[in-house]
Amino acid sequence: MKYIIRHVAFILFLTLIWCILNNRFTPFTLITGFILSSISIIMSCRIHGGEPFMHRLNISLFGFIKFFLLLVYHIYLSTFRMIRLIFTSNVHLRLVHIDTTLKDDWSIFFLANAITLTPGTVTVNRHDHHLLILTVYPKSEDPLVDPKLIKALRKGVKH
Amino acid sequence: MEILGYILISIGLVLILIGYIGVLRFKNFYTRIVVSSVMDTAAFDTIIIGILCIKGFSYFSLKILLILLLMMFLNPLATHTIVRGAYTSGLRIGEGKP
Repeated sequence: MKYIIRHVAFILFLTLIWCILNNRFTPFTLITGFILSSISIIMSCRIHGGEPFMHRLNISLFGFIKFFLLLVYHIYLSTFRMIRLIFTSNVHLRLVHIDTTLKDDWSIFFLANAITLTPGTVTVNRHDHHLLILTVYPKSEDPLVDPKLIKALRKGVKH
Repeated sequence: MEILGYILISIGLVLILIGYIGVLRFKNFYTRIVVSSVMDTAAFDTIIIGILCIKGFSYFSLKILLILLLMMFLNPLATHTIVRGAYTSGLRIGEGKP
């Protein structure tokens, strides 16, 4: 029971997905969805290391949506940069080490995901706060990760 | 709205074409993987948004939105795994060779 109270937001999200996949929002689907999501949450909490891992994810909805929209904007921005590079073949392939100021595991995961999603940069490896990034942009161009993105991420995922 | 959807899908297809040109043009493995991310993310997202514009708000579009969300999480994971595998198995980045 304590797991259900603790992860109620996540259970409601899973119920929403269940209703979408069932194509209807009737009370019966809502109840079955809630029961099935509760069972799956309890089962994943019982696994060794599952509970603390899920407990650490603390997302503020509006902050995260803002981060997501900023990410989509950056994806299209770097796509046009990348298209220019493809046709001029002015490619400078190099590996870059960057340090993040983010402490939380989930935040670093979202940052690494965002770096790989934006065309032109791929996260290769990670040691604690160090990220190894593969990039094709020349050295003279602006920083790889926009500080605004990290700021939005910090607001979206609280520790 | 429907016309906008078709325009977006066309833009997505053009982005896929540009991605293919990039993949065929460069010879280095790492450059190819970086270039392929253009069609991986930008083209896929554009096509999905185009389909959403055509279909409007319905259960179908919600399902498509779920696929988009899933791709946003799983796509970088796949790319990262391939690149990390290549890097840890000793394939070095050839300096100067695109």
